[in-house]
Amino acid sequence: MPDELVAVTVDNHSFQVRKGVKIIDALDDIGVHVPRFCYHPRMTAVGMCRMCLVEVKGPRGPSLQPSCFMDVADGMEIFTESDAVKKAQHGVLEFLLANHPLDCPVCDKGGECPLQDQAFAHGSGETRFVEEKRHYAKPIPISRLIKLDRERCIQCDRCTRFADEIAGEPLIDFAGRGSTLRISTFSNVDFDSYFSGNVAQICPVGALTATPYRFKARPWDLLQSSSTCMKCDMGCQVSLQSSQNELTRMLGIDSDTINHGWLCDRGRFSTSEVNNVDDRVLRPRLRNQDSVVEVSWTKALRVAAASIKQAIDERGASSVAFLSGASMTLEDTYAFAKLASDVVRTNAADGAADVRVDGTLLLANPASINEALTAKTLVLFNVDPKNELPVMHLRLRAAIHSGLRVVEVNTTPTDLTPIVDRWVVIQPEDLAKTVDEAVAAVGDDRDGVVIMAGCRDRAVAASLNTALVAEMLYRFPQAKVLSGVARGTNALAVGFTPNAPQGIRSTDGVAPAVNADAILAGALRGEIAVLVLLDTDLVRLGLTEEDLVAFDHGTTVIALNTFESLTTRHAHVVLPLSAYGEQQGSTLNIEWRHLRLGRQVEPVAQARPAWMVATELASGLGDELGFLTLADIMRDLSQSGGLLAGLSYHYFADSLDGPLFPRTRTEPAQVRRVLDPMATPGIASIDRQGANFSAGNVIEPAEALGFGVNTGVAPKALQSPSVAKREGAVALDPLSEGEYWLHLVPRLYDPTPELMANPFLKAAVREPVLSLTAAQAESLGLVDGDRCRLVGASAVDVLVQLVKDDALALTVQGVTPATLRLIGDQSWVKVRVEKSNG
Amino acid sequence: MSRFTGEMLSRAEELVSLYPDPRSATIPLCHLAQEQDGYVTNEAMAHIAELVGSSAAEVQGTASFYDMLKLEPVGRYVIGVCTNIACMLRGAYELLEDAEGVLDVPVGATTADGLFTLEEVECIAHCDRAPAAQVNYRYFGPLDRESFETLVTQLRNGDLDDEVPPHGTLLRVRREAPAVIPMEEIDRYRAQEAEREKASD
Repeated sequence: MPDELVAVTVDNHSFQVRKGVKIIDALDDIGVHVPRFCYHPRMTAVGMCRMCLVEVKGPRGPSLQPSCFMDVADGMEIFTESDAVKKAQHGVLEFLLANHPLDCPVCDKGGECPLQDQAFAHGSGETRFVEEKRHYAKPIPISRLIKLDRERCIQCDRCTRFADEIAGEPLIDFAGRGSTLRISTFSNVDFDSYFSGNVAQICPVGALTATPYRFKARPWDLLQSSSTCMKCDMGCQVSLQSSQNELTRMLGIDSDTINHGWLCDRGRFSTSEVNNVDDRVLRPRLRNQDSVVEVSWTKALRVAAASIKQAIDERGASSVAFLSGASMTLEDTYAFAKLASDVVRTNAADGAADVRVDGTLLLANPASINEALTAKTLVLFNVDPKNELPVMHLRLRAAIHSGLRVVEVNTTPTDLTPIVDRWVVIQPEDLAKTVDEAVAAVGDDRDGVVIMAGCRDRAVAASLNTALVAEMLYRFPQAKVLSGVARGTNALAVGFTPNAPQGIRSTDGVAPAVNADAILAGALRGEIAVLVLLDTDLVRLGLTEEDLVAFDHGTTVIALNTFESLTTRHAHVVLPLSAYGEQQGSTLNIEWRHLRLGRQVEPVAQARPAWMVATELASGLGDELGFLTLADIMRDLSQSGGLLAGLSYHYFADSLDGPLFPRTRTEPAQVRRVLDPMATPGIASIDRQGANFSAGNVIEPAEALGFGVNTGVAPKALQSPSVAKREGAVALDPLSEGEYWLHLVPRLYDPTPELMANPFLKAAVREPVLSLTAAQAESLGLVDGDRCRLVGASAVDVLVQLVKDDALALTVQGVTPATLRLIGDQSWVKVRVEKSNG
Repeated sequence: MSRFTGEMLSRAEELVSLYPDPRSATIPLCHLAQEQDGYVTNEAMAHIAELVGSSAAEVQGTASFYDMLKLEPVGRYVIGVCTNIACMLRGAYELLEDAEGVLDVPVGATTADGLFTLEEVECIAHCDRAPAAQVNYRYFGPLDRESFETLVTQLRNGDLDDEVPPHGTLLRVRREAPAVIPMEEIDRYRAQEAEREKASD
């Protein structure tokens, strides 16, 4: 529906502008720039800085009005360049600069600073101030990641508004009044937020700076390309910036369909781990018993191929297993999927070890993020956006505050629980009742329901989780589904996991049938001769170091890794993979949108992209995958049918996000992405907007959505949410005496090799804690801060934390190698709690 | 004694219940904290945040806005010497210097025994008795060095205890929340008013 329009005159020219928007938005639409500091398009206008004053004609003649604070009205006459406006702009800037230090040459913002730019463009050009400026201690670290320089602050309220309004964590606020007004945290409470980096991104001066980027580079030296964050499958659009062949920072691009400009700290500061060469795998190496030798790629690949070949010849193809739980690029994932299915021909391949819900359910009737956020009712099922898909948490908060009805179905509450419409707890005692309650909570209006289905609680087995999601979909047959799984979209989309829908990729090869758990169990029994790991730490999949050592007898571990870990230390063949930002490619996000990945730096040392390794391994096995370039992979993939038919790089238009898959899905025409240097200083000019794909693919993108390139097979109709899979009422065995149902939920900063390689984020890693209510703790004889022993599949010592919320009872927060070992083969993990001996 | 406990806690909870939105109780609770400890402690601000459902940073932001809410320890008696025009003409600056001399602390500081904090304040509307000073917002004047010394001695000896309670003490009349007026009654009243207006037209 086109927006209603009203007629206004701007500087004596007539325009039609959208009704009901602020003057500043209308002026932006027609290309008239008004200077601004406090205004940010994704936050409530506050009219703090008075920089956007324009003259608006009223009954008593023209008067100065803040354009960010006044709606346009029919017949409005606006003047943006009158003498009064200019005088006001000079005055405001003079006022702002009265106390602003002139340290632009050493300020990180210098060169991309809205204050600097607008002082040049709209200031009077000279100062009348001779007085001493205000002085504060500086810089003040308000968290590990953010430093505050109060002298530079112009009190625009952007950071405090972000913390309060967008993140919902008002840990910074103004303190004082008048000339002593300043940004402040409380006493010794840090600005400890998953989203703290955003305040440095939106600060219109150099008052808030991100510690990892401080004094790293000058803005005019930065090279940048648009890319996609790979830390989870949200697919946040970023400007990836580098200087001197080193990644310097990531800034969020305001993509209307995905991240609205925001990033989480895990993603934003992930550049630091890529740069940390000390923890990277640098060269191929072989290990034989205790001797480790670095070898050439040729030799390492020959050894790897030989061991695979030997295993196939001697013990059959299914004794070779491929395993990954990481976010790999679409091309890398496909190359290995094809290697496993067509060349090695093994059914033991799972590239989505973290996906514990049937992919058929996620892919059958997919919803886009925006569809989910504008649904009549959104059901969050076993998903914790804040810890798994952090920026989705911000999008959900905003949507809920503008009226989205959310029914949250979870085993334990999340940070969204206080603001959702209805909260339904998944009760292990009575699962049928849980589903009934969830259905009742949605109400009678069954149309327009979107289910965001995830697998947050690790204590719930994949089969049970799938059964519950299937039951929900049976009750809401029309419901669309948005994936709430943090990692694994690419593997699902190319059929590199048994979880993927049958026939998602047409191939003559062997479809994956053995999942990650079965592969690992088989490996521990010695049934797997060669285990090929893609950027995966086996310890993160529940194995112990002893298990890894035991592989020396009979299982050859070939580890393709970016970062060093226990797995790489014990693997027999270690191959260095290029990291994020070191390779081109593309990826899919949770809404199955195809997104580009930019390459900003050379791979470190001898690291290579995984797909190249796959082609080399194939030729080492005397076969070929049929591709030598990324474009070949794309062509191959687009013709493999299923979800990705029609896939191509062609539609990576400079200013648009990629399209949704399958291509039969429609969405409203996208608005062009506007890179607003006033909202996000530093993304004014992305020289290389798209990933620089090989020649021959450069076709001018058609208008907006006209991706008229039809290659490959038409999309197959994917299976409908398989009602046949419905298992009816699911019931679990009741607890025995002294047993408890366990909840095991992830946190954003759970230790992974990448996180531990990040010098700025690894300090955020906390040990897992067990929440108990006061009553439970008393009956167990425990107090806050105690340690206790949980006995599940194995025994683990954890820290006890008392909580008031009943619903949080017996929740272990923190998925770590230790807590993962609690999980056995039960549908829902049961544990005993014992006093710790220590 | 920094978080609210016992009677203070029940008073705090009562204050919160007075308002439809708990956040509205932030400032009254800051006063309550000041009554308890003489100033608003960090622990009290954290507790207030819990009680009203905001963050400690926000409570600090609110409390730091107001000069009468002290965020740092002050003496039992906060003495404010007015230096606005009426008092200035009558020798306020001399009085301020004398006060510094008598208390042996500079403006803004607290005496070592923790009894007195000296402040310079703007007009306290006691111009008829200039130069004037306030002690815990109770007014005294006109003052000179001699009478100021007497005042300090009296405060120190507790002679003025009835008149000047310790800093932070609230002497406002506490009241119950008014009974909720039913909507029907309001409607009836409005109808009557409307009719009366019509009749008078």
